Amino acid sequence: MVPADYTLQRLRAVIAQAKALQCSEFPYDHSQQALERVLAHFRLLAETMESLGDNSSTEVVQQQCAIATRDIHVYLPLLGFILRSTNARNAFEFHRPFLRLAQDVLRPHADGGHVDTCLVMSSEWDFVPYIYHDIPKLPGFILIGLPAPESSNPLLFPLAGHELGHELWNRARHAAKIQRVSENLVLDEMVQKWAECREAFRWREWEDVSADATDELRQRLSTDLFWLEPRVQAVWWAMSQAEETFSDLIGLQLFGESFLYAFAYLLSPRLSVHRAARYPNLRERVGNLLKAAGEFGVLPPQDFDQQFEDLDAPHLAESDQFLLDVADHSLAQILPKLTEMAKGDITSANMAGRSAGEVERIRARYDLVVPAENVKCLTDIFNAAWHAFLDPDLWSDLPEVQDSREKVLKNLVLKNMEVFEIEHILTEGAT
Amino acid sequence: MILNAARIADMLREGQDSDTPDPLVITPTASIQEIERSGSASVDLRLGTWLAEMRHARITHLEPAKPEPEQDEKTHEVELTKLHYVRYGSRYLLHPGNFVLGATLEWIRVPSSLAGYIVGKSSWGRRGLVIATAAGVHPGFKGCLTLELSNVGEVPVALEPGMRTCQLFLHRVEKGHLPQHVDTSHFIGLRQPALGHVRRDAVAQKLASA
Repeated sequence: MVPADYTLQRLRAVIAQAKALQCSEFPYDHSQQALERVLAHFRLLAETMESLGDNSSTEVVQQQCAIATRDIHVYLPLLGFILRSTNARNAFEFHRPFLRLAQDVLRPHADGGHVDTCLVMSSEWDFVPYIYHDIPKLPGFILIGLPAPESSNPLLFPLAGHELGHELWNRARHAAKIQRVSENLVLDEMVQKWAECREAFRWREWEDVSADATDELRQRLSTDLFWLEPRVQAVWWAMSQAEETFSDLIGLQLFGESFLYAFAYLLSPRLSVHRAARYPNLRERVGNLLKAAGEFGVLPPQDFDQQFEDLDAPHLAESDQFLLDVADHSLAQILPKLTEMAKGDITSANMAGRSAGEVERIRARYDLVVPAENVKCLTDIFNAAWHAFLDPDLWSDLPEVQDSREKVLKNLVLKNMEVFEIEHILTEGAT
Repeated sequence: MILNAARIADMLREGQDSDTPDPLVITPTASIQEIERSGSASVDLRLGTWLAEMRHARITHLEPAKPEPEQDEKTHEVELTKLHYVRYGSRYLLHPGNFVLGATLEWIRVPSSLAGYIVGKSSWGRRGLVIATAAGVHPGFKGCLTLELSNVGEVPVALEPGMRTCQLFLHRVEKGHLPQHVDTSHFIGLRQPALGHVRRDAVAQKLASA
C-alpha cells in the first residue's frame, strides 16, 4: 500500500463512523445538520482521492493526501463534539432560547452569504466553557461546550455569553478596529519604558539614542527588524486579551448579574496556578468587569472582587515578561473602547432589556415553586434563579423541597426556559 | 367533591397572582378560557419531551421488596433507566408490550387544599395506550408528573411531545385536626420522569426477617 491508499482508508473509516453517528437521537436540527455537512465534506474528499489514478501527478496526489489528513485532524474532534451534543445529560431546554439570543446578537453582522446562526451545544470533558467557530465547512455554525458535570446546571449558562462574544468579535471584525491602536500603544509603552526594555532584552545597541529622544526611539523600534518579533508578540497578547475582555463584556451585558455569579462559581478564587498570557490576570479581569458593570447598568454582588486572587506569573523569560507587561498596559488603555464596542453591539441587536422588576416577579413565582410565565427576557430568568439560589431562606417554609432545594431549583429554572420557549412558539411560530 | 371547570378556571386565574399564598398552577399550556369552554371537570395534560425506558439489557430483574443498594438518586436512576429527549415535531415509537416513563409537559403546583388523580385519555386507551397506573397527586405536589405509558394494544403507538395524553381531576381535601399533609415524595420538583425508590418499611422489614 502507498500513502494514497492509507489516506483513502482513513477517509472511509471517518465516513463510516460519521454515518454511524447519523443514528444518534438528535435533540435539534442544527446538531444533525452539522454532522451532515461534515459527512458531505469527507465524502467529497474520498471521491477526489478515488478519482486520482496512475496518471495523476505525484504532487497532486501528495497534496490531496495532506488535505485529507489535515481535515481528519480538524474535524474528528468536531464529530466527537456533535456526538456529545446528543447526550441526555445536556439541558436541551437552553438550546432554543440561547439560539434566538445568539441570532439576535449576530444578525446585524451577518455576511451577505451567511444564513442565520446555527448553534450546537455540548457537554465537554473540560472544565472551562469554550467555543469552536469560524469552521470552514460549517459556515454560520457556532459550537459551544459546557463542562460535563455542570452541563445541566442552568446557573452556569450565562457563561455561554462569553463564548458568544468570541463569535461576535469575529463577525463584527473588531480585531481590525483596534489592531492599529494596539500596535501604537505597545510601541508607546516600549518607548516610555525604554530603560527597562533595554535591560529586559539585554540590548546593548543604540547607545547614541537618549531615552528622552522618544521620536527617534519610536522610529527605530518600529523599523528595526530585531524588534519586529517582540512587538508582534506584545501586540498578539494585547489583542488576545482584548478579545477575551470583550467576550467577558458581552457575557456581562447579555446576562447581567447572573454572568458575574456564574463567573465566580467557575473561576473563584482561581482556576489554575499560572496565568495564561492571552488573558488579563484574574483580578484585572474582574476589575474590568466591575468597571463595565456601571456602564451596563449591572449591579455587581457586594465584595465581588474579594472572591478572586491573581494567578502566579507565567514562566516567561525576562524579556517576555516585559512584553506581557506592555500588553497589559495596552489593554488598560483600550478598555473604554472595548466597553463602547460591546455596548454598541448589544444595543444594535435590539433585544428585550433586562428588568429588575421582572426579576422580582419571576423570583416571587420561584418562591411558590412554579415557573414564571410571560417572561420577556431570558436574562431575567437567570438573575431570578441566582437570587433564589443565594437566598439561605429559600423555601425554608416548604419542608417538602428543603432537602433537595438545589435540584428542585435547577429543574424549575430549566422548566422556566421551556415555558419561555413554548410561549414564544405559540405566539410567534416556530423557527 | 370533584372541582368543576369553572372552579378550576377560577383557581388557575387566582394562581397567576403571586400574592395568592398557596395557588393552583398548571403551566405552560393550560388555557383558562379553554377549560371554561370545555365545561369538563378535568384539565388535559400533554406529554413532555423527556422519556425514560428501563435498561433491559443490563437489569436481570426488579425486586421491589429487596432493599436497593445505597445510592444517590441520580446514580440509581441512571443505573435502571435510560433517558431520551424527544424534540417537538419528533416522535417515540412505543411498541406493543413495551413500557416507558414520560413526564407531563406542564409543571403543576397543587395547593394543600386539593388532591387529584391522573386518568388517561380514552381516545388513547382505545388505541392501546394506557397511561398512569399510579395516578394519585397529593396536596402540595410541585413539578412535572411522571406518567407510566404502556402499549397494551397490537400496533405501535407514536408518542409525540405536546400531545394531550391524560387528564387531571382535582378534589377538595377535607380539613382535619391533624397538620395538613403535603407531598414529600422523591417526585417533587422534577421536570424529567423519575423512577423513585421502593423500600421496605418497618413492618415489611420485620415480616421479612421473621
